[in-house]
Amino acid sequence: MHGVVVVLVASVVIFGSLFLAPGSPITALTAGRPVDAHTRALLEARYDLNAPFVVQYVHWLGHAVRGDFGTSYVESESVTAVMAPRIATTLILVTMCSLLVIVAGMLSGAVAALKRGPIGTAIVVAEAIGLGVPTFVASLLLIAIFSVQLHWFPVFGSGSGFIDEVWHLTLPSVALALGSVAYIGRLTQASVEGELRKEHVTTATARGLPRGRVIRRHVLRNAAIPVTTASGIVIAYLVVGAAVVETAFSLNGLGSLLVSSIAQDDFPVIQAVSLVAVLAFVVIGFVVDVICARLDPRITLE
Amino acid sequence: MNLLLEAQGLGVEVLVENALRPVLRDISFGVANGEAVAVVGESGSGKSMTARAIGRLLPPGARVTGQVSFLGESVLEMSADALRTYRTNGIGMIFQDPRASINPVLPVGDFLTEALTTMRGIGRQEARQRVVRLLDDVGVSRPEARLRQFPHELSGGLLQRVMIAAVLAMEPKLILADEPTTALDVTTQSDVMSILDEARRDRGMGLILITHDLELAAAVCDRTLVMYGGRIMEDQASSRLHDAPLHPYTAALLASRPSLTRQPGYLDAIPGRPLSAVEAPEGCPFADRCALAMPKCTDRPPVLREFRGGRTSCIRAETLAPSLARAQEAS
Amino acid sequence: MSALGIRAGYRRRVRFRGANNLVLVLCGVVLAAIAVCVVLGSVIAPQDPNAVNLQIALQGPSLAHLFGTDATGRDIFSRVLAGARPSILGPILIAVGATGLGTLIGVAAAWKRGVSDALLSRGMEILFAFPGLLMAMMAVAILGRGLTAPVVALTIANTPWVARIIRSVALRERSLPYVAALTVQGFSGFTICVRHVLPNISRTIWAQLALTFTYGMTDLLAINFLGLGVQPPTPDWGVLVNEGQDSILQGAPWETLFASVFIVLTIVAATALSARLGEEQTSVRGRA
Repeated sequence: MHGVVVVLVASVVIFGSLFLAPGSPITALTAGRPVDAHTRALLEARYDLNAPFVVQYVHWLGHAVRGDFGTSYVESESVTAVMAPRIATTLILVTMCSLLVIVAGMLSGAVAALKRGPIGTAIVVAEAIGLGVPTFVASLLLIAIFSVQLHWFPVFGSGSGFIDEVWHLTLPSVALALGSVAYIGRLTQASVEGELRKEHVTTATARGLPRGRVIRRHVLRNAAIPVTTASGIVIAYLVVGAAVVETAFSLNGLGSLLVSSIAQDDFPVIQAVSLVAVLAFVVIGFVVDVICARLDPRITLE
Repeated sequence: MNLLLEAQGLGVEVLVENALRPVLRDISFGVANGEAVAVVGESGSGKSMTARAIGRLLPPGARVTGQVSFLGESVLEMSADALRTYRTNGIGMIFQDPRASINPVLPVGDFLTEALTTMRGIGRQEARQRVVRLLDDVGVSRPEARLRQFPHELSGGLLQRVMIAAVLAMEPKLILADEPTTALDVTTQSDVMSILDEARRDRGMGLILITHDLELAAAVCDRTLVMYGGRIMEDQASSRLHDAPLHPYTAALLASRPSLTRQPGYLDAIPGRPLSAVEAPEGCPFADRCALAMPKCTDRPPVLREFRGGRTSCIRAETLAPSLARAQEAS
Repeated sequence: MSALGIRAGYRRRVRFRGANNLVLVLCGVVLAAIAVCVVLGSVIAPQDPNAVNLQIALQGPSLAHLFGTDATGRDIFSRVLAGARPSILGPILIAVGATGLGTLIGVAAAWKRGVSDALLSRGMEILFAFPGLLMAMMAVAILGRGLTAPVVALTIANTPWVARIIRSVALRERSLPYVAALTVQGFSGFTICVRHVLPNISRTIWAQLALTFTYGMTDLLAINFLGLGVQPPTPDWGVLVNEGQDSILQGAPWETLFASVFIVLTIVAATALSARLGEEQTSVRGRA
């Protein structure tokens, strides 16, 4: 399957690129301090740094498939242990954000297409602004307005307990969702407008079917198909965008882990998180393909 | 006589690049109960727009003048509820491209039963049974299986039969068929057309057939209207139209058909190209292509008037009638 | 020139309508102003962008300091102006690189078709699996912080998007009769592509350039914001937004605010420009 190939190639690239990075992992491990030959040999043996590339790659992949990504250079505990507590935060964040994107995006786009006039124009303008504001800008502006000025939301951290966590993650979700909501909104609007002009909609109207039914069953349902495809890709990109938001809001998630591990040259962690990101991508893409095939009988799954 | 459908002085202007342009001018005709009328014309003549106007399916921003009445009630002024009743029980429309007219993501059965279940409140089981019977009537094999199939799995001819079945299901009084067979291959064309003709005769439904094919019009319809440049040029019984056309345009159309028996040196094509209503001048729209035109033809707009059992808008009809008829005899 | 005297570049004429013209002019003005800042930023800045003065730290806008001062007393207005160059140059490089490569690949794939096309398309598809930001981050992990790594990575990441659009536009162009006519006359594929097809799809190319610029800018400034790209004290706008984060908590959002305004203005102007120029393409990109 196409997805598997992508993940495999990605894993090679991920592993290989860090392998080729200038500066030996030893330097990272020892934080640049000079080290005697004995310690060096020990480190090399421990992290298996002397074997040829292919061996190291297979070794790594074999372990990775079983969930063992090795040991973090920085934390000196297993990568999995470093990642585990952070997964929940990122998961909740991305889920909240995805819901927001799908609901708000499709709703605003459909409304803009069906109701011309002031509401429609307002939505279009809002979309243009939303598209122009990068996530990190949105994050800080939201903090400035809603946290510092209005005190509606906490500034930092992920909170404890589910409800508290959701409250903490609201502002980050909105910041992450902004650009995508605007994008999906515009796409939905274009799709609905295009569908409204189609011949089969005229036929349905000509048969005397009530307008509400025509809109629901023939316009919106059909227009949703290309939007669903795009939503999948957008959500997949959210996974990466989470890195920015988590950093801005000081959240302990996988994204901020990625950023900090890059800053500290913690290769095993970088590899693990990158691989997880690509995996999430492919899985989301697959799920979207399945949903689309259900919606549109003209599409066949390979 | 109480007419089923009547158009009086119907005029339509549509928005083209922010300006209103005329596509139909002064269209007046009537269809009696159970009568079949053909509307013939080249592209740009306004024949499709006439069908849309009757169904009140004009593009947004279009301006309509004149009257269209169905069983005495004005279509153009109907309320939304009355309009829906009109579209379900009064008329049934068949469009040119069945593939574009049916929702591609829903099964064919859905399409067929939708109007029955929604508008007539018939249960799904009963609706399916009725529809299966209709599919059988129009010659669709394995009708039950078809219900579950999707439009892209059916051929064009099959889909058009599905459309006909869907229209028949609602039992309208008048069927509007806009070039129903143009998108099909020739052999399928005659099949589908004969099915449509037979079905509507059996049920006593009226028919307005929009087509560019004069032969087809004559074969199926009692009367033929000839349109050009957004106006009606001639309105006559189909059989008489072929023998004695009342308008030079009709005569030219008839003459330009390749004949199966004669072998002419050149095809008698009409010089120039067909004009749409937008491009047509104030006088007779056919004047600049007409071999028999005189200066007075372009002076004022043509008026459709009774003449020899039909109607014509040619200002020279009296003078030209004998020669037009004689030309037909010769071919 | 052929024996028939056919001129190079069958151009199709483009008409701009009134309202579009106004928006185009507005975008042009904004972008021209930004361009001035890029070229002359440090020169026209009223004060030294790096001059520290703790006594006037965190002041709001005033006549002396149009945008106020930051946590170490530096004039924000000067920093924003000086920051134009690092903030814009990188994205321009990305845009030019990705558009150039993408056009090359897209036209080659469209022209050759068959195996070459399949190979190129598959290659591009694999790249699609990597969002630009992720690639940039990994590039920084490998090559270290600074501008080089993210710019190279973002150029590579944006290339497949451009390539896909250019390919579909070029395919459409290729199917037009004039291309067949030129081929029959014996012109080489290269000549036809360069002298005839390219000029006719130039509007799309320009649109992609502007669009890629906005995506490159968004991603690159995000990298800078994360501290993985340009390092302080360079007043890159992404860095400014980051630096201003602490100031916000102390009630002085000016640094972040004004840097953000400039970022948004540039992106919106470039996006509007690209929309006016090219056909509306539904290309999906990640936002970060």
